Parts: sequence; structure tokens; C-alpha cells
Amino acid sequence: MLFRAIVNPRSRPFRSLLTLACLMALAGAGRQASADAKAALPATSGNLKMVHSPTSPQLFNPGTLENHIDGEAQAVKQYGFKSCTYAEYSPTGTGTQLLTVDIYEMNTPQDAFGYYSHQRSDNAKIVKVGAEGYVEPTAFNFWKGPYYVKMAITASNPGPFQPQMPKLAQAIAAKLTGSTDLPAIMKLLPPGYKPLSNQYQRSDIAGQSYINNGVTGKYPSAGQQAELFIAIYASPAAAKQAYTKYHTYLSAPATAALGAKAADIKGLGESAIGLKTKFSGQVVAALSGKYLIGMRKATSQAAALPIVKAAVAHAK
Amino acid sequence: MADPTTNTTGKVSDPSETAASRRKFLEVAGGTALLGGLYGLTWLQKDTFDRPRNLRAPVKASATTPDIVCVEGNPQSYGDITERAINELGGIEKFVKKGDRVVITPNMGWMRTPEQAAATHPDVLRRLVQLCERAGASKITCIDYTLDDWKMAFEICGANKAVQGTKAQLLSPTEVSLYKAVDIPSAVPKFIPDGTPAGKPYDPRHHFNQIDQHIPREIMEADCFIVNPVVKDHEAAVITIAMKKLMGCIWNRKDYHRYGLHDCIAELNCFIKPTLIVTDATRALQTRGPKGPGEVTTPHKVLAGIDPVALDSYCCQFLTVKGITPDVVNHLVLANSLGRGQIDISQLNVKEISGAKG
Repeated sequence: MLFRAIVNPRSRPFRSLLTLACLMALAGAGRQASADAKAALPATSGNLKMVHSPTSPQLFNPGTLENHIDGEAQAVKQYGFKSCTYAEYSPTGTGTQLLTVDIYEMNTPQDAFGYYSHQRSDNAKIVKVGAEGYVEPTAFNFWKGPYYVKMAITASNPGPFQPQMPKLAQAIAAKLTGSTDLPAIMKLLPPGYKPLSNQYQRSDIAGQSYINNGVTGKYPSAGQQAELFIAIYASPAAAKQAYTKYHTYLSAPATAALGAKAADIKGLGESAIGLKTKFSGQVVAALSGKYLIGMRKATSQAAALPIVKAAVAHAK
Repeated sequence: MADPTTNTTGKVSDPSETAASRRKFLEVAGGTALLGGLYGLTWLQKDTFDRPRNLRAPVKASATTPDIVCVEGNPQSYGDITERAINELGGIEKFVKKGDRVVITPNMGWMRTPEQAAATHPDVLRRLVQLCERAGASKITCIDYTLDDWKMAFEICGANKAVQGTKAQLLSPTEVSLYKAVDIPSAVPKFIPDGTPAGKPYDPRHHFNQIDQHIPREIMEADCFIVNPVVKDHEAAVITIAMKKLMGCIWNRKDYHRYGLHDCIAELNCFIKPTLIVTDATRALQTRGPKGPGEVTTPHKVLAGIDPVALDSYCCQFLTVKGITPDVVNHLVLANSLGRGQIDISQLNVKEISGAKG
């Protein structure tokens, strides 16, 4: 009887066991993931040694990340943050002149790329490491699979550390597993964006709390800072709701530039609006199915329209 | 030995036991009263909020004084352009009086070198301190609640060097005993203009989420408070310049991040109104702020003014890599609505000076 109860999918014991198994699997996956990041950190690299302490390397979870990076933690958590493994390296394995390494593990490669791309400048000097990385005088960052790896030199004289950064990055990248393909969502952007300006953003696109989960890119053909966004919603109704809010925001007198007035644009998506704003130059926004598409900081509506039209066509 | 008596329950009780019971009762009652009194005191304590009593209010020297002064220089003239910017506002003596206790809050909380632009440039800070000394300040304290080890941070970012040979002291207030409890909502307007005569009711985030806040005693007791931020990108707050800089002067930062960062920053700025703001845009941290390392550009500018919303809105133009505009910085938008300052620079008197020396 007990056996029957256990194997019956509708019974309480079955469901309890299933829940327990799922929790154990999740916990196991978490441990495995953290172990992956920890295992990717070599004890030595070039002339650097990991600084060992009873807690090294340190592991931070969503509840403790604030203790490590203070307020930035909220931004990281937007991208499906799971854990951060932190280690320090120095030539002697001691001291305060350091090369620090943070391995952030996110829920998905899309999230890892998202936070990586959000922190990447479109002037970045790209290097082939992991899926993609870049180097700066005192930093070396890359992403691969669900991992975003950040390395930084914390030393008054960064010189001796600089040649060591690429070596350590390559060693870590070799051990981390995961996809090196650009997330499929990035294909929503129509051609013409400035290289390295393409980003996946989880929240607050265009400074609006209701425009989330979208891709952005700069389109110099519409202006030096002109930026296109395409936000994806769960349904056309949800997209329409967000579009209505944005329409209201753009139509408010406080948003418009002196003497400008919001005007509907015909023949663009299901509904569209254009406005010269006080702060964000020319803005064009359109609703198309489950997408809210917009361009900000364009020099003129004429410059913005071809790109927004291309995005509407592309998003279908 | 006391005689046994019979009590109402019919049980025999010893008078010494009765006395003991009475004593016990008195002890319990007394203890309860004491604990109650102590509990009451905690409420009393909670209600004993302080305000910055002596702090000189930010005032323009005259109606024609610029709202914002922006002076461009070069790496050899960062000290000079700092002085020039303040001179254009009427000179340091307009803000610092003889005998003043001055508190300056620069960025100096990270173990980052001046080139990495996470901290106020030492030359800018040094000149500001020297000017305060010249104006007759009796005490100068530079405060920033460091997030990295304070000794290392002060050394690497150049703050130690900046105050060397001056009377200024550096302080990272990492003990709650160095703070005073404050009531932020008391300074926040109850209504936001919305075109109606009454305006829209505004319930401060500090009130809604019951956020307790404390501010360093040094600031609460100061005569002059100068905010001296560097221009930076910020992953959570979009930008960190003068308004966000006040978060380096509070005890409870976690609740701000947890409950509504932008609202809290705007409300905090309603409570603490710096006498003067000197913004360092000699370098700007464009990415991965506030700590970096990230991409750094060098506008080579120093700005001065008294309106944090206006200065921060103006400085958005220096964050060129992300192309940040004031309308995407929600603490600027809210502070403007709360009447704390002007987000629309076109409404202001801005004086831009290039190629300047002191």
C-alpha cells in the first residue's frame, strides 16, 4: 500500500518525494556550479600565486553579495545572479598589491552576456578569450556560458600585473564550461549598430521601470548617441500596456522640448509616436506584437524612422 | 520561628514564605517596571532625532552669480581650476567663515589610483582644503565611509597625500557611535506638483519602508559642509556624483539598495543641504562604476555650485560612453519634482570657462 502511494503521481508522498528530489538536484547543481568556478581558479599562473586564507577563494550568494560589492549587488542580481567566486593573486601569495578575480555565475548565458555587455564600452579592446573578452590597463573581463569573469589590478604600480592578466584569463576560460555563441535574443537588433554597442538589458531600459527584458544598440546613422531598444513582453497585451505607459510619459508636457508636441506616426507597427524631448533628443516609439520598440537620442525623426521600421520588420 | 497560619486554600503557609512571596512579587514588579522604563527609553531615544543645527545654508552670493561654474584646465592646473570655479561663485569666504568647523566629503572609499577615477583627484581635494584653511576654518574633516580597507583606500587613492601638511583629518566613520539618528521624512515635501493646486501626495520611501537613518556627528555639528564628488557611472544608481555622494555619509546604506535607491537618494538630499558643491570632472569613470576599474575619460574640468540636481544633470554630459541623459536618472527626476533642484539646465545661468588658470 505504501509502495502504491509512493508510486502514485497524485499521492502526497509521491509529490513530497518529487519536491525533495528537485530540491536536492537544485542544491547539487548549485554546489556543482560553485565547484566549477572554484576549480577554474589555478593555484598559480605565471609568476602569480593565489593568496591563501581560511576563506579563500570566497563564495558569495545572492544574500551575501552586498558584503562583497556593496550597492552594485542590486545590479548584478537583475541578471539572474547565482554565485560569485572571488580570489586574489599576488607575486608572493601575500600582501595588498593584488590581481583580483571575480567569477559571477548567472542563470543563463544570456544573463552572463547581459551583465558583461552592460559593463563593456563600445570602445573596448576586444581579445579572444572565452566567448569574448576585453582588456584595459587595469582590468580584463570576459564571458563564457553562464559565467562572467572580472579581473582587476588593485596596486599602486599595476605594471608587473598587466602581462599576467591575459595568461590567468586564458587559464580560467579553459576550465569554465558553456556556450560561446552570442545569445539568440541579440539577433533582434537590425543591422547597422555600432560594433560592441549591442547589449541585453534586464531592467529600466530608457530609464523606465516598465521597459524590461530587451536588447539595445547604438545606431550612429541616426545620431552619435542614437540608441535603439527592443523590449520583449510575454504577450501582445503586456507589450501594449507598456507602450501605453511610455506614450503617456512621452505625451507629458514635462518630457517635451520647448515648443515640441508628441505626434502619432501612421504606418509604423500597430501604433507609434514621435517627439523631440527635453533631454533625450528625438524619440520614436512603436508597438509591434509583443515588442515595444523605441529609438532615443536621434538627431531627427527622419533619421530615426528607417531604423525603427527595420526593427519592426526584423522583430516579426 | 514564625507560626504557621492557614490561607484561603486551606494549605498551611509559613509567614516567612509569605514574606518571600511578597519580596518575589516586588522583585518581579520592580523588574518589570525597570524593563518597561528601559523599553520606554528606547522609544524616547528613537524619537530624539537630530538636525544639522549650525550648517550654513547654501546661498548664492548675488542674483547674478552663476548657478553652475564649469572651468576647464589641464592635469597641471587641477588645483587652480578648483579655486577659479569657487572664485566665480564669490570666493570661498562666501561659504566658509573664520572659526568654522568644515566637513568635506570627497570620494576616497576605494583602493583605486587617481588614474582609475574612482576617487576625487588629490589636487582638487588639496586645493579645496587649503582654501578652507585660508578662510579661517578651525577644523576640517574629510569624511567618506570607505567600502575597502580605509587605510589602504586613503593611501592608494591619494587622499593621504592631498591633506598632508594641512590641518585636515580623514575619517571613515565605521562605528555607529560616530553617528546621530535623523528623521529624513521630516524634510521631504508632502506633495509633488502635478498641475493641480494641491499637488500629488508623496509618501517618502523612508517612511513607507520604515528606514532608520544616521548621519555622522561631524556633519551634524558642522558649520559648513562641502560635497566634493568625482563624476562616475554607477551600476545601480546610473550615475554617482553630488547627490549619490551623500550615501558616503550615512550609516544605513543597505536599506537604500533594498527598498528604492533613487527615492532614498532624493529624500536624503532634502534633509542634508550642502553649503557648497565642488564637482571633480577632471576624469570621468565611464563604465563599471563606482569602483571600476573601467574606461576613464578626461574632461579636465572642475565645477562649483550649490544645486546638486543642476550640477549632476549638467555633468551627465561627461558620461559619454553610455550617453547618459538626466531623464534616465530617476533620483534627479524625483529630486526635481520634490523641488530640491533644477534638472533642466536650459533654465539656469551656467558659466563655462576654458583654458583657465587659477
